Formats: sequence, structure tokens, C-alpha cells
Amino acid sequence: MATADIGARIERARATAGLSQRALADATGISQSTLSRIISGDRAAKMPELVAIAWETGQTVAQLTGTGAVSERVQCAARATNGSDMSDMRQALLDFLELDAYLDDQAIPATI
Amino acid sequence: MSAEAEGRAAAERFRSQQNLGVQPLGDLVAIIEQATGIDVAILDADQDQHGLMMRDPQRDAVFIGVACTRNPMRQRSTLAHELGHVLFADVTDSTAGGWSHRSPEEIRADAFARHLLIPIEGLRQFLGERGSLTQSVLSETVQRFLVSPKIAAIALYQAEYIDDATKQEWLSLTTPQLATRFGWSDQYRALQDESARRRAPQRLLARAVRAYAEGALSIQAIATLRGITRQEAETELREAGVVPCERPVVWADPTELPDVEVDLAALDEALNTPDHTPEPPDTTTRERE
Repeated sequence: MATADIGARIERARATAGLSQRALADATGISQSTLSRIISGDRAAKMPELVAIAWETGQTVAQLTGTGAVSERVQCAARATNGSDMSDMRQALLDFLELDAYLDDQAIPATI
Repeated sequence: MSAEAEGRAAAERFRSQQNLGVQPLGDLVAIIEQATGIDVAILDADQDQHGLMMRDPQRDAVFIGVACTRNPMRQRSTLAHELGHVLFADVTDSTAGGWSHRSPEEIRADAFARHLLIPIEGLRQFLGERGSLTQSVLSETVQRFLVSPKIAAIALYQAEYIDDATKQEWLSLTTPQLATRFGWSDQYRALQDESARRRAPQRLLARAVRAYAEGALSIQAIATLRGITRQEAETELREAGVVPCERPVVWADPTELPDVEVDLAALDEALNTPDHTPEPPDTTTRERE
């Protein structure tokens, strides 16, 4: 897992959660300069930092590190026009699948 | 069997398995979620991304996503189309792109969607014996089955209510035109508001809320799923009586620890026992190492 890739994923998670870099730094207790270096790929994130970032952005550690592997095995069928590559929707559904897999790992039963 | 016939047969099978009769279907999202256990989400996406079905083969989890749109009839047909892909276990190579390609699978899923939304038999029950049809009947059909005029016209043609020329003429009509002309534009606007609204996948959200209550998921995860702010999510959950349970860590004071008797005799004995090797250790070699 390349540091730059993880940085990019953290940046996407931050944007999805609608948090400013400052707000994410405050919430995780990571200094803003460190967070900024992690996002730009200059510094690798340590595991406790990843866990804190995952919690505050509402993502899973697997999503941030790209170790979820769901994206490599999923199968899709789509309806699109004008040659759309479906990237937004693909990403949204991948997030659902990753979260669903995480809830499995946490032994959270389905309620309905 | 042609793609059209396959799609129709599957739609009839689905309706009969789910006891849906031949009546118009109401909330398609809920019907799909309850009938198949598949989670459905209505998402913000650009207008060329109509719908996507995604399956994780390892865990056999399936999600369907459709785009928020001001075109409610198209959203319904996309939902039904994606359900068709699920039932036929259609898979597109996700790396190849080219989602707009009209493959036999796409034609079959379209036929499935059409026959699911407006079964010929249901149309016959609704219209009974009729002579030549006017556009007001097309409007009634569109309003009743909540399908586009195009889909309604094809169904009317297949049920032999109209001829090919009339079908061709009606294919170009739009739902807003019919709704305005025949007085149900308020209902159409309500349908538009509904189809333009985001909707989180219900089962996943329910499970996530449970994980939040158990302290295994953060409030932000719920907020992201719902597409609302953290504060809104927190307020909503608190008002519903859902608060994360506290799992305090109990730290013991070292003085409170019980005295433990440790019998080291057995260890001493083991350490004092000579090695089992029959020959005495060669100390010279060991030193050289």
C-alpha cells in the first residue's frame, strides 16, 4: 500500500464526510501539519492515526488502506448513457459493500 | 427464446413468487428490498449514470444504486432493469467500460422491467374491452402503472389495443405533457420530489445504526450513509432513543491485585536437570560459534 494512495483515500474520506482538514485534525488529535503531510503522501500514517481518521471520517481502516479487496472481486451490471464510466456510483456502492463487510467482521447482526 | 420472451417470463415468475398479482407496483425500492433482500440506494450521481448493480461474490452481498432524478418514470424502469440483472445474474466486466452498449443482456433486462412494471394481463384487466383508444387512455395507463408513455405504448401495442402507427406516434410523448394535458401534474410533481430525494440502503443503515448503538461505528459513518451532517444524525438518533453504549475500561490499582503464590520449585528443578543429550556438550565448539 503506497503512502500516496493512502493519502488520496484519506483526502476522499475527508471530503465525503464534509470535514475541513482543520476539523479532521482537531477531531483526531493529529496536528494539522502532520495530517497535511499524510494526505500529500510525504509521511506514512501510523496505525493509531489511521484508526482515528477512519473513526472520524466514518470509513473503515480497510477502506483507507485499500486492503478491503472488495473492489477487486466485485461484479457489476450497469445502465448508463453517453459512455459514462459510472465512477461515482461505483464508488458509492463499493463504500456500502466495504461497510457491510466491516459489520460482518464486527459481528453486528442484521436487524431486518 | 428471444430476449423479450425471456424477460417477460422472468417478470411473470417474479410477480407470482412475490404474490404481486397483476396490479401496478407501488414503492419499487421497498418491493425489491423486501422480496430479494437486496439493498437499494438512491444516490446523487450525474445524469448519465442511471443505475448500477454490484455483487460481492465472496460474501454474496448485492447492492443496487440508482440516481436521483426529476424523471420518476425512468427511475422506476432503471430499478426494475437492475432487478432484472440481479435475477438473471448478469455481470459486466467492470474494467471494460462501455456501459451504454446494447447487449442481449441489456435488452432482456429492459423487457423484464417493462413486463414487471406493466403486465399485459394487468393492462387488460384495467382497460377491459375497448375500441379505438385516445391519448387520454394512454395518460390513464401511464398514471396508473407509473411508467413512461413509451413503455405504456409498447404494452398497449403488445396487448393489441393500438396499431403500430399509433404506437409510433405515442412513443414520442412525455409524461409531463400527458400529466399537464390530463390534469394530474400535481401528482407528477409529488413523484418528481420523491425520485429526486436521496435514499440510504435500508438494511445496511439499520445494521449500521445497531453498530453505532454498540459503539462499533462512529456517528460520522451514519451521517455519511444518510447524506446529512454529523449534528443532524446525532440529534435524529438521540430523539429515537439511540445512544452509543459506554464501555468504560476499568483500571485496577496495583495494590488491589491479589497476592499470587508462584511455586518456582518445578522450574528450578527443570533448569537443574542436565540436557538429555547423551554426550556432554562440546564447549570448545560452542565458544567458536
